[in-house]
Amino acid sequence: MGRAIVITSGKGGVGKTTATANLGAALAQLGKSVVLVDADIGLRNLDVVMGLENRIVYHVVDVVQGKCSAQKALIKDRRMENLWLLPASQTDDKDAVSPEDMRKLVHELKLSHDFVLIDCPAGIEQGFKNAIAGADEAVVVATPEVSSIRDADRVVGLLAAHDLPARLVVNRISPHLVKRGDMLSQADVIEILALELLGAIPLDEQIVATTNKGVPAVLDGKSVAAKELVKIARKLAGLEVAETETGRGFFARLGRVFGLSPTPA
Amino acid sequence: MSSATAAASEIGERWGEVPQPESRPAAILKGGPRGLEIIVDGGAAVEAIAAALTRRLEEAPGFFRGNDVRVRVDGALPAGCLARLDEIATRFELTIVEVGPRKPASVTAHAGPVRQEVAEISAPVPQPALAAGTAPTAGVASVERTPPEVATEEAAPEGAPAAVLDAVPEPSEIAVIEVSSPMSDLPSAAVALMAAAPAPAPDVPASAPAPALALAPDVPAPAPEKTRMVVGPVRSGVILDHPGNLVVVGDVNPGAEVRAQGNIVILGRLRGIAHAGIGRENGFILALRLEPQQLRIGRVVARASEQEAQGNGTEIAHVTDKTIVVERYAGRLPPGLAAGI
Repeated sequence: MGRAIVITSGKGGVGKTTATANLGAALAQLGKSVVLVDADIGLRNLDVVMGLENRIVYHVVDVVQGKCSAQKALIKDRRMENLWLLPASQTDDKDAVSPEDMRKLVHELKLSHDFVLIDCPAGIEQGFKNAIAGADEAVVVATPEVSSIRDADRVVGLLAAHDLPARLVVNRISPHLVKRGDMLSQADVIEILALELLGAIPLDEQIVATTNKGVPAVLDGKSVAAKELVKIARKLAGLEVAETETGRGFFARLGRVFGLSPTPA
Repeated sequence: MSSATAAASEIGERWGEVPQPESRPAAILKGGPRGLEIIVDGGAAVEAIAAALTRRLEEAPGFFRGNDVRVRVDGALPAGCLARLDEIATRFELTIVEVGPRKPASVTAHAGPVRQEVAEISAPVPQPALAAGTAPTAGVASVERTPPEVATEEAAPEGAPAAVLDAVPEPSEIAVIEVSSPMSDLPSAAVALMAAAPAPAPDVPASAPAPALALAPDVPAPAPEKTRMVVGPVRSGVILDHPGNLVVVGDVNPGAEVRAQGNIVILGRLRGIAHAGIGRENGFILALRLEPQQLRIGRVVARASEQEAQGNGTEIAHVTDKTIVVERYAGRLPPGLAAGI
């Protein structure tokens, strides 16, 4: 039986879809069987970020309405063996499916895959409720910005009310801006959200390029963001995480004290 | 009574701004210089009096709870009325401590000045649940009756500026003072009280012996609510509400609200909103780190100014002179707060 993980944030535009795509790809690279589910009905993006938008024939709403089986709607990734996408519909909206529909669908997918990653839409309304319905655990993505943290805090409260354990990914952190005092540090974020930290993804220009091209950054694996995403994927899979990227030199350690270098979680 | 009503309309026309009530209300609540009062129209039926009083108390039941109240009658209390008033008072947790006539003025009805008796309770912060039916939201200070209780033909007491008229929430608050008539059907104890102490002028100091006649000695004091302990963090969007004291073990995040009728203790950082002393006007908020969006105690609200340095260490907020004051807390409560626990 696989694990269903919802990637959520409350705030829009903080990197849920990118994280879902990359974590999925990274887990597939580790040999796991992964299905990505786009729960953002009406505003689908996961297909674009994965570069699979031209291959969509059926989508989530079709499956829920019984027009086709889930198996038929899954799109196999063009690069990776064991990675599939279940796209959202672009023409319906979030009322087209119910939490119960999602629960059944995700359960079915869990039976034949190791991981079901659900890309949650922004907000806390019907779309959010649908997305969390089938999940066993949650990854909350927040950027080090007050508005993002505020929204994430709200979401964590709602997740707790649904008994969903949650862990944190801090996204788009810039040590340079933190040092200047223009950006909250990773520690500031954790202080309010009080969640276990999975990882802190640095602000990385290459992410912009890769999402636009429809190629998950982890496939190349060279950018700083990609490296952190791979680490997070390893943690999700319960694998050991090497400390190599964080640097062991004196200055790196000093940087960690001041919240400038990424801390090994 | 009919002459009084006629006089009221006459005066009303003269004023021009006073909306005319069709009939006098059977009972109203009033906050006066000596506390909460129930003004009863002795000419009304017992049930009308009971209904009017109940209605007003229901507008803000928690607001009046636990108060002492004096009954003032215009005319004579109808038979059985006192028992009904007593019953209602018990239900709303009020204690009737005195029954007496309206302040007798030597003003004769036809020339009696119209007195605006605005509730003394001023509300710097409108709170829908508490302020309903009482003071206007603009903080209006009480209008003291002008010293000449014996005012004669002076049209309007100068101390009642026209502006106050706008602030009067209910037209029914306007009343015509008239000489009280003998009360023959009150319980003998009340009659004895009134015989012994003719109603004093308002500027008699409060220490003047007015025997507190507890007409409902069997009513027990309301049981103090338990203190509730909650494990935080209290997340954004969550509201905690408790009738007693509230202790949060953990943080209160921005966007969260903790409310208590008693005191609030936060064993963590207070970053959201805390509201203590709801309905009681006194209380404190204590936190290991006080960094709130807003502090509210009773009806007073404070926010941290942008420039104020955030203190370090445990701090306690309480009300002094209608302002919220924050102090370091080193193990002792500021004076006056312990009594409220």
